[in-house]
Amino acid sequence: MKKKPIVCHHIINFASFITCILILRGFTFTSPGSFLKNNTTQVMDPPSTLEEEEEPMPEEFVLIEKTQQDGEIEQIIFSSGGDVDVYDLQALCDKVGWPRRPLSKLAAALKNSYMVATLHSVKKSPGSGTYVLRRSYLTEGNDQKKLIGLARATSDHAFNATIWDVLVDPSYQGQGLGKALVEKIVRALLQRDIGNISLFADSQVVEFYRNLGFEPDPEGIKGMFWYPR
Amino acid sequence: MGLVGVGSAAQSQILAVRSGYSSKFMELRWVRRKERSGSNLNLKPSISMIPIYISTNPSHINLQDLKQLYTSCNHSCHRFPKLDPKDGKVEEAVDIDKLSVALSHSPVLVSLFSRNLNLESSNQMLKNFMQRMMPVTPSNGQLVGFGRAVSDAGLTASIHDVMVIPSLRGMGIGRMIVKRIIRMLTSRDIYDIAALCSQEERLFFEACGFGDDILSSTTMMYTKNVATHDGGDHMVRRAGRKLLLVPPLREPWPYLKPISSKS
Repeated sequence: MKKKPIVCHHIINFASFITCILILRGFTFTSPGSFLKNNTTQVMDPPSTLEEEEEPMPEEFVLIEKTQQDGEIEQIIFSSGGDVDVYDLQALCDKVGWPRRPLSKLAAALKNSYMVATLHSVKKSPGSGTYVLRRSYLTEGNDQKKLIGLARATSDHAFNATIWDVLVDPSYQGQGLGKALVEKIVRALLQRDIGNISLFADSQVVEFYRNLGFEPDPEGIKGMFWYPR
Repeated sequence: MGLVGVGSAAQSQILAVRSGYSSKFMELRWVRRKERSGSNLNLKPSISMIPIYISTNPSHINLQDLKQLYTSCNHSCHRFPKLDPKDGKVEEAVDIDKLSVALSHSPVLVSLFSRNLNLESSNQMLKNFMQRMMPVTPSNGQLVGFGRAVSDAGLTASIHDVMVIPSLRGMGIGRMIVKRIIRMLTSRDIYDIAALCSQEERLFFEACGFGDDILSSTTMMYTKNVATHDGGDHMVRRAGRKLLLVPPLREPWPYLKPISSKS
């Protein structure tokens, strides 16, 4: 709905006519793009050279392999960039005692995170035959694959990143798996020159992160959270 | 459409003037300049209300102007910037390419424009009058404030780089920017909003409704760098004034090759 400007009646010279045109143009907010002067640099398109390196490269490899006495082999597989089943994640969150969160929000958060690193345990029953070969970590029909660890980071892809939701199945804790997850994420972030890496640690894990190179309240920087009044 | 007074601190009053052409992206507002006794000899008494234009449209942001705003506000993208020891000024200018990438991955961008009303002489009365009648737009206004937020579109968000040029501080503009960011986030159902604050920024964010974590979590940042850790060969990355140590590459289990041979 356009409002007509009020122009003083007694100003009728050419200069005011031009000014009126300018005022009218000034009210056409529906096309803001037309107001960018030709010599302003256009924004918002990241240069194509950076585009290719933006996303962390998805990778997957075996972190640890253990052979049980009965010949069963268990592999802990690290993966980043793969899909995570939200139901598996929720089950894992239940195991570590975290409060439940809406599944749709969880799925959206995973999808829009800069990086999601996971650990899966794959147990290969003895006698499946092919496990001595290189491709043996591909799960086959009678293998059990279980999500046992996750960590994710959000970022603006350039300067800031925050690590959230670092968790490892209690029965697999104490083996350095959490450390592997966090180190991997930090490495991926630093390789993209993302230097402000932060996280919010519960009191019982502050030492854990300190050993990984994180410092509490560095130079007085604290995180604050919004509380609706 | 009328004048709506928004209750706020005694120092400043923000009146929302709803015009007929405000869309969800842009709003015209007025901000009252704080009255300072004895210092307004240069100011024309009539200029106490300043028009500002608040926009959440990314295309209103000119990268060069934004880079200049970072410099004017002495704000750095790095949390540990290199500072000139004499005057505390941030030494490095903002990398425009990285800034562009950061903006394109910040779902919430708020930019604030104003017009310089310190008009010179009364000879140009008519020109002043006409200029003042024209509304502030991103094209005829100057970028004076900014703020952005990064989010995962589901659970969490964090606010970064809120800044207002020094001459317009103390009038509630920064708070307006943060309020707008919060409004955009809560409209997308995100209520877990964090902000990393230095000591100087704490008071500001407290006034915006932020507080310490209710679950008493500890804020930590990765600061492992060459100065604090010695040791063998490490890859390093510069972040501001710190040379951060990159965690070593973890070799996959021996004898097995990874599926995708990256990293």
